[in-house]
Amino acid sequence: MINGMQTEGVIGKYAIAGAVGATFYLEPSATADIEIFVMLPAPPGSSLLSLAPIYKYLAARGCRMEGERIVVGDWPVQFLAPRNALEQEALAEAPETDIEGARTWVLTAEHLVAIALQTGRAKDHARIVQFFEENAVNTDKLKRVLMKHGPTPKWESFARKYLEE
Amino acid sequence: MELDRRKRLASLPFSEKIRILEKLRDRSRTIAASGLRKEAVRQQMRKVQVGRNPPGPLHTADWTPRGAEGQGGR
Repeated sequence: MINGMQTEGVIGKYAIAGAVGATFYLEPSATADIEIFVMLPAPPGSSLLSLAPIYKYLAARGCRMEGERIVVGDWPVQFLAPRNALEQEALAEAPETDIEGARTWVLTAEHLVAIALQTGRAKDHARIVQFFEENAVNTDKLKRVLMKHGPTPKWESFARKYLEE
Repeated sequence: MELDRRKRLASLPFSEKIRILEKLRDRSRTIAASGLRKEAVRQQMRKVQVGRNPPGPLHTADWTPRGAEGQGGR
């Protein structure tokens, strides 16, 4: 259904983020919803971006709202427009993969780590540690992302606290 | 051993991992709907409330530090 929305031009590129995105690289861990970054085409004559067309499209196909999420199939989905340069780059560079034959995009491991660091909740920190324990992240690439987008002091503090042996 | 298990799970195809996520999600919903989680939270809240009004120093619902027994607070 989300690919259909893309084909019909309601959204541009999209990519799975959050815990489900992390599951692409790590072992599955319980999550209640799916976070999806979406590129939104600006409506003609306006520079304001809105998620309303997504909700309208999905509601017309029987999906119901659940708080700030919309239930697609059995999954509550949270659509997020990138809020800053890091998230814009993450979406732009997300590689294509497939789920049971359907094409989809998932953020890179390095962008997932950088965004988790930026978000900074306990569960985000736990996920970053998982990426390192399982050697699922390219450290050089991560450093480049962090240096470009700024959360370097946060990273230094995190690395001192959790990753130094 | 634990890390090996996690790495083995991590190496599964994404489609298979999604199926596992769906099972985890459904199990979590079942537990939430059964009220078991609410009861556990209620019990924890009760312990915290007892701990806020301790009858003695550092006393909680089910634990009193050694040497503090019988030292009732005012």
